[in-house]
Amino acid sequence: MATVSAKGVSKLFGTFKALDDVSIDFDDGGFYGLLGPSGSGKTTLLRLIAGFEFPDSGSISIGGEAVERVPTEKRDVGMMFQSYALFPNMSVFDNVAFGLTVRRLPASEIRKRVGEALQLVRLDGLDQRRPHQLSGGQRQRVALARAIVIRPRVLLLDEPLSALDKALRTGMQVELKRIQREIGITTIFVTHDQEEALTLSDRIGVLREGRLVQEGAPRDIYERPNSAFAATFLGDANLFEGAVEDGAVRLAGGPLVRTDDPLPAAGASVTVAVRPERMTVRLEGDDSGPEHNEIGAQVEAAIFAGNSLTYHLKRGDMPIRVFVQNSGAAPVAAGTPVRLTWQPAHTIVVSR
Amino acid sequence: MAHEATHDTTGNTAQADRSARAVVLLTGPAYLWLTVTVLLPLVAMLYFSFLSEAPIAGRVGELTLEQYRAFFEHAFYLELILRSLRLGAEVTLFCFLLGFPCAYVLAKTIKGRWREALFLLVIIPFWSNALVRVFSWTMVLRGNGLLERAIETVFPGAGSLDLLFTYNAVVIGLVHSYLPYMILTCYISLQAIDDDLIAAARSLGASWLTILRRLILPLAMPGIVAGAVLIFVPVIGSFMEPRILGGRQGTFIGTIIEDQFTAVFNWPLGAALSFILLACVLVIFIPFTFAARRMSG
Repeated sequence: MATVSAKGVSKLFGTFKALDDVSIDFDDGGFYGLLGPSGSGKTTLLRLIAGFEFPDSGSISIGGEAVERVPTEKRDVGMMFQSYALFPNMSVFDNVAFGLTVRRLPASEIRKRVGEALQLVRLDGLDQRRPHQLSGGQRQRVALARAIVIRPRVLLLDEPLSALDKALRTGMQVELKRIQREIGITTIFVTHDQEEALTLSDRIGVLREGRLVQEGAPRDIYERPNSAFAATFLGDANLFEGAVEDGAVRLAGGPLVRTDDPLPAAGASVTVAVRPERMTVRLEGDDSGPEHNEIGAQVEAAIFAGNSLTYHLKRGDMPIRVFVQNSGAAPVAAGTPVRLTWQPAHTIVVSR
Repeated sequence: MAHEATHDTTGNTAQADRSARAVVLLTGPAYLWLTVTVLLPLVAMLYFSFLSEAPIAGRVGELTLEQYRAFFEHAFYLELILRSLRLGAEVTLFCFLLGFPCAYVLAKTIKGRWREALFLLVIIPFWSNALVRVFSWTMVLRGNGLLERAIETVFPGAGSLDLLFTYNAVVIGLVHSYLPYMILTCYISLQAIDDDLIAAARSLGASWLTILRRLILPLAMPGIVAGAVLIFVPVIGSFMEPRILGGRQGTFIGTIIEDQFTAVFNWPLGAALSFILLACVLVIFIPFTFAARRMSG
């Protein structure tokens, strides 16, 4: 187990800048998510840490030891591939044992450790099956067992859950977290799925166009995204443009919106974000507290999803979304003019 | 419930009938063609091999085992078969040693337009007449030919190789003729190997040699076996390359069989030798194919 650290890492593919001066630290035993859309450089960063590619500049260290020029076979990392990459010509046992036989461990030791690893991923008894005789979920467990049985210093997962259907995915999320805690290994995974990142990670790094946009605990990034991109990529957000006036933000078209965030000097234009679940839909005539921000809008549609309700509203041309818990009250009908209110603490200034 | 079940069964039978008819209609012509072009000639040959003389020009042969007895009575037939099998094994081995790395580079290292260009170079020999190809080798291999002059230029005083009309000349010519088969069959099975498999093996600490031995070779085995069959079978029966490049060293079972048909007109002996050769091939390849299938999972 070890800390992993990347400092000023850049990587070019031809003229495409896959990674641009990225620095990030992964603490010992942590579960890290690298989140970003395709082409953001998250997979490149993972492959650089794994040692499949070398950075053009910058340094990567595992356990304090510089490894940026060490090829993957000497780096002692466990990698689980999106395609699982199980060896089709070998049984489950031989797949898991592969890294141990390469290390020339005695047969009895190999049998013991493969048995333990298969038990950890709850696959004991399937060791003589071939990969094509397993279900998707079982294949993933074999891939995981194969990656951890060598007791690597760091575990890397490429889109670990994307190939599973939704029901399996939820179960596997819990399993992955349990296994990671049990062996206490530093784990870094790549995903484009914000829900996966939020539920699995202790910390998240958000990447965009080869740069690290924001890094922190999932809750911190969700509550205080530092850019419109982070706000919309991790969770849902309504964005408003405006200009600073009187210690608040004057939106185009009138209303003054207050925030607890620090603001630049008066006159500067800013973008603020409000999470859809932090807004309250109030009909004309309902009252709201004086601390509440308030804007007018018109209901376009109310989408019912069982335990919750999503209102699609319009303020002028601008679409706004609001999530409401299903409290049993009748939804507001389309076409009704309403007021949307929220607390200043929930106005996030995402660009200054 | 019971009524429904009977209804279902009759429905299934009707459907099974229909699909059986479709199978017959669709595959029938192909099997008919194979029967006419492969099975009938083979059966005719098998019949000839049991005759005392060829039923041509009004002569009538009697049924006999004499031709097969001739094979066992003259040791040189067996020697020639062994010589041909050795030739087949050597040509196949050299084709593998040259073709497999070439196929690997084509499948895994080179991408895009360069791959197409190199593929063309592999396939071009197929477009030229085999006889022309073999005769060009005589220019290259003969004493004071292209090869010797090239070597003389680089290493003056290297002496004469005098390759033409030797066993080695036959091997060189046959390897050149059959190399594309090995490259193409290996290429197909190599490019089907997911790059992630190799990356995964590397991340588990495997050296290139281990990856080659435990992953790439087993997974490419169907292609290697297919290539080996495509090369070995025609090479052991080959007669043109041995005649042109081998000279007096070019006597193999293939040239003997050809002589029986074109020079001596002893068709029954030629047919019998052919079937003995076929039996040898089957004995070699059947266990080999099963082993390969087990290896690649």
